[in-house]
Amino acid sequence: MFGYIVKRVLLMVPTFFAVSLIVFVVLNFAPGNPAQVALASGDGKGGQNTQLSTQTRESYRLFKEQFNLDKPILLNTRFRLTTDRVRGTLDDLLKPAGDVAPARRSDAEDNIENWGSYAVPALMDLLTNDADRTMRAFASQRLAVNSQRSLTMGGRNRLTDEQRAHNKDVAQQNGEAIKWTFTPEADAEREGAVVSFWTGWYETNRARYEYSGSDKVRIFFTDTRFAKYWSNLAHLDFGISHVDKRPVLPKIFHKLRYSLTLSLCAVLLIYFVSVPLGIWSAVNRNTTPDRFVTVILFMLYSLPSFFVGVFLLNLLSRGTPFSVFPTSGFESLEVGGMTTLDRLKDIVWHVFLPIICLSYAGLAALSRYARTGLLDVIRSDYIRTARAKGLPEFIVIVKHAARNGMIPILTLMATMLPALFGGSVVVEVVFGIPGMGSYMFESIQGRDYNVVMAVLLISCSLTLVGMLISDLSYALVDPRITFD
Amino acid sequence: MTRSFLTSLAGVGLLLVLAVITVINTCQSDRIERTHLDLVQRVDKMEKKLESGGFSTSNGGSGPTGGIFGAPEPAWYTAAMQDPANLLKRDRVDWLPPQAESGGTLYLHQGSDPYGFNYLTTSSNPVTEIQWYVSPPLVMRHKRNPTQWRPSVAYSMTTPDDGLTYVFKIREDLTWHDAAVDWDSGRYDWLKGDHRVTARDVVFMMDMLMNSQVTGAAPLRSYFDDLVSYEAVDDFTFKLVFKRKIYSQRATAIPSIFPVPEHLYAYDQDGNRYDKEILGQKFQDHWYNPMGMGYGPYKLTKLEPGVAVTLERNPDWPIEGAAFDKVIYLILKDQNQPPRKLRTGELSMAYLQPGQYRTEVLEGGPDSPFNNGELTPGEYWEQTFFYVGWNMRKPMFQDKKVRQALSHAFNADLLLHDVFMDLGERCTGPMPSFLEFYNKNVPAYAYDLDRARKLLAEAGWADTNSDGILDREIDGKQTEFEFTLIVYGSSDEYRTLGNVFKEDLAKIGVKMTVNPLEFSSLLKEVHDREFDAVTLAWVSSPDVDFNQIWHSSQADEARSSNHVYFKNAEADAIIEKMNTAFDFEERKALAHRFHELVAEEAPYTFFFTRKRPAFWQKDLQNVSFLGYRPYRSHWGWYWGQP
Repeated sequence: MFGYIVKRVLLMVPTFFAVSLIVFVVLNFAPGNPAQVALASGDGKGGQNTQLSTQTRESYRLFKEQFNLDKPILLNTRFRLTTDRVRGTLDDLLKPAGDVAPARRSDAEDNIENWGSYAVPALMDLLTNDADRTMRAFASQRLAVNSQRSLTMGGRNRLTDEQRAHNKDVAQQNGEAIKWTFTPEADAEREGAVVSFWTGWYETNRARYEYSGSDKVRIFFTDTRFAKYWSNLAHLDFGISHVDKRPVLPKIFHKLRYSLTLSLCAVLLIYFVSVPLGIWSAVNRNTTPDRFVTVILFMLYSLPSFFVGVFLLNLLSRGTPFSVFPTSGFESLEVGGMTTLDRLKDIVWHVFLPIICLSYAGLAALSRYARTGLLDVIRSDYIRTARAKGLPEFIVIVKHAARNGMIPILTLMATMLPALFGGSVVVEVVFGIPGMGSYMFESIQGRDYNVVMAVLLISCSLTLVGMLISDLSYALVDPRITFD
Repeated sequence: MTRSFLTSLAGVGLLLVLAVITVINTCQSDRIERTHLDLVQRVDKMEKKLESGGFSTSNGGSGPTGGIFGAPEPAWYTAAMQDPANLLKRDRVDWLPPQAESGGTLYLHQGSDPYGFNYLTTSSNPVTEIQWYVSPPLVMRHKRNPTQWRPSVAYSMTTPDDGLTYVFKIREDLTWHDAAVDWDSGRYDWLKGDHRVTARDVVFMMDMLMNSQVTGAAPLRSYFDDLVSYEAVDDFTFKLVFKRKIYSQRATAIPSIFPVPEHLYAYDQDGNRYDKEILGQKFQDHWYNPMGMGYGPYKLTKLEPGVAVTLERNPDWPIEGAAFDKVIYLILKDQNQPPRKLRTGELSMAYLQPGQYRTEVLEGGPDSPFNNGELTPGEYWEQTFFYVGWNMRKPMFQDKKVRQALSHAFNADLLLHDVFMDLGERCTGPMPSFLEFYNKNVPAYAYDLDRARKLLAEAGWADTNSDGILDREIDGKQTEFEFTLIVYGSSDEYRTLGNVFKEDLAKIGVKMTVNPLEFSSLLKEVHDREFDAVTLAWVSSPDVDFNQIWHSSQADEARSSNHVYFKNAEADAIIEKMNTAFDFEERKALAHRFHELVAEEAPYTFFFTRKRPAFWQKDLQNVSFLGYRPYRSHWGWYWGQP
């Protein structure tokens, strides 16, 4: 048994990795990226001013750098960047705007930015050797940006004195570099000064831009978005949200409070109602009441929850004919003056309708499982024996049949783990509950990669754990099953 | 076997007993807790009474001023108002009538979560609306005449060299709200004490605005391209110098300046000042960002994500207008919630969507609270215009006649009446229809399919292969008149608009496909200029600035707002003239001509300017709206008997 568990846990690691890889790639290839969303000012529909001046462009670059959006997604081959490639890209930007398709132009702008320091050797080559003066001038302007080094921000921690000294040094060098550019209109003297500055600078810093074989291997695999994400993930750092710049994990835990309450209650309700109902159906199988209940349950199963939610609210919430339940929310706004008991009552009053909405469909499915499960065992020999030895029917069903018949139902519980965590978008939006479902939905719309990744990865690991638990619980309830 | 069954039964029994004991225990402690809470509340009340008592003595109780009517007007303020050089003029409109009462809670709503209240880095709608009360800008627009400026944090704005240098005098009686931190922990003792709002806080705002590391301020920064310098001349004087004299500096740049508390944002949680190299980024991702600090008439006291934002009145605010003790913004993401909560009184005011307006008001019957006087009806106009834009990079839209034909095939009146429930007004040019800059003499394109057919024939489109779709030779290739309209897919109204338009176009032999997209994807298509036609809306400023959307220099910029590739020499000339024209009448004449020109060229098929049908509880008094954002400003509203 122990060996089996170890094997399964070890298998989880590659599965988890594969899932994270697929999710990450799909997410990063979706149209629109957080930098664009962040820079479109928040007017919602229309009204955005996204034309970028130099200063603004610099912000855009820093934003990409902060969230590693300037890195290639999976593999990095930028150390092979050739002068021709860089020249072609710069050329797209230098041509009169009308001659290049706007999408191509903005791609070129992004590319030269994203290449960062990898483009420095090529830019040096262009600056010193290119025949076209406009190109040389442009190369000097790009060098001033691409040679910028990033500062150490230190996350939540205070910077050490070394880091602070390093920052001072880098900021000073960056500030110096940005000055050494020339325009095509400038005189030859200025150009000479700029070129000699950059040649001198490149000589001193040459080591940084020459890659050995092992450097290349390292860059190829590790200087990518995916590798950076994983290196953070390795110490359970899910990063910060692009949207509100807060750490993702505490926010998820906050939202979880609401979603877990709802889904746990819903699952309990489902089990408490559907198991007895299934047993009752199995005992009275194929009678008219059984058929009637089956039809009702299937009707419930087919009702969409957004419809039921709105229907219940329009019928039962305050301001409607029956005026029983509140219109939305998880609890009242003013909970300050409430005792624990009052607060509990208040929450129950608020979440009653959402829980009904979450559970009615599961009720139908699970009670059918329970019915089938019991029907399977009720025909077994040992049940006949139990009856034959004169036990009352109730004891036969509850003590002998139900315990074996409910095994599939118990194992189903384990697979519900991720669903408990994920919450429900529809129910949460309709009832105004700030849980996981609506959080995930908004994050997808806002291209908040870190949040989406975190939620999906936690869901994924819960699914894996749930499947393991489900397999193990078979062995626990049914001694005939072993894994050895 | 029997024994194990009995044991499990016993186990269940034990659990039940435990549950009962827990319930009894909670009920018992409930009584104790209640007494305790009562006591706490009583102490709180006494403290508040003491505080407010202390206040009335310090104010000296002078006549009609005081409390919600503001402090008595200081002499320096009166003097500044009489100074002819001061560009800020007193707004003659009274915000509160003399019988107004203070108190109560106002409940409004927002459709999405505010992502923190660092006003410089977050610009979503809920945040900017709340900033209006918590951290108002240096200068504000007049209530009735939005092209005039009135004092706010600054009480004097002068320009000694006529438009290049601006000098602001800042009120000396403003203090920063207390930070919303856990004071008891002792960690934040360095933040204690009164902090006055000074010109240095304005300089700090400008520092952060111009710092590239503050990525969130990038959209705003582009308005300050011509900035030469800024400085605090003394504690309460702030000076700004521009390179060139451009109208949008006064219309857009200056009104977006507000003080930002340096004593908070330049420090980490333990009170250590950040190094200047990293200050920008630390400000962008500041530890205090979930909350926000201000000095305005209301202070932000509580933020529950997804639930509500609570503002409380700041008794130290010296200017009149804020009558409520509390203003609570509920976060309601489901659009069905606001009308429901209006009925129950959980919301004090809300506006209805077109569909809701139909069911609740038009078809609601006389007993609906929306019709029987329980809720007071009203409306406000938004600074918007809706349009269908034609991407003129595509050969088929390059001919003016084609665009005019398409405009004639757009049944705007029907859509406005049946889909948007007459909640708006036809608009024929590139600005909201109620502005003075809007040229009322420009006729709308009438819905006239015959005229559309004729114009298309004149442009050379004919159905030569008899497949029911017009075609024409473009660049040596026979091309069918087929294109795709992208619409914002989450809105029913937009989708219906697309489908109605599609059917009308089919009647004149044009095949249009409607493609509803989610907003990020829509934006990407528009930025990349790959779309054929798009329907969207622009929000305009009350001063209208055509440069961003219509100047030909913007046409080739990737991601600029001129996404339809509009290039017109006369339009450019008008825009450049308007950039430097400060005289209202001159600006108006130029705008009128511009309107004519753009309507004739039809780069957009202009649709309508929207109004919002608002409803509020009948006890809410003195409700009025602004002609600019935030339209439903609650300054001057109060709870009272009608």
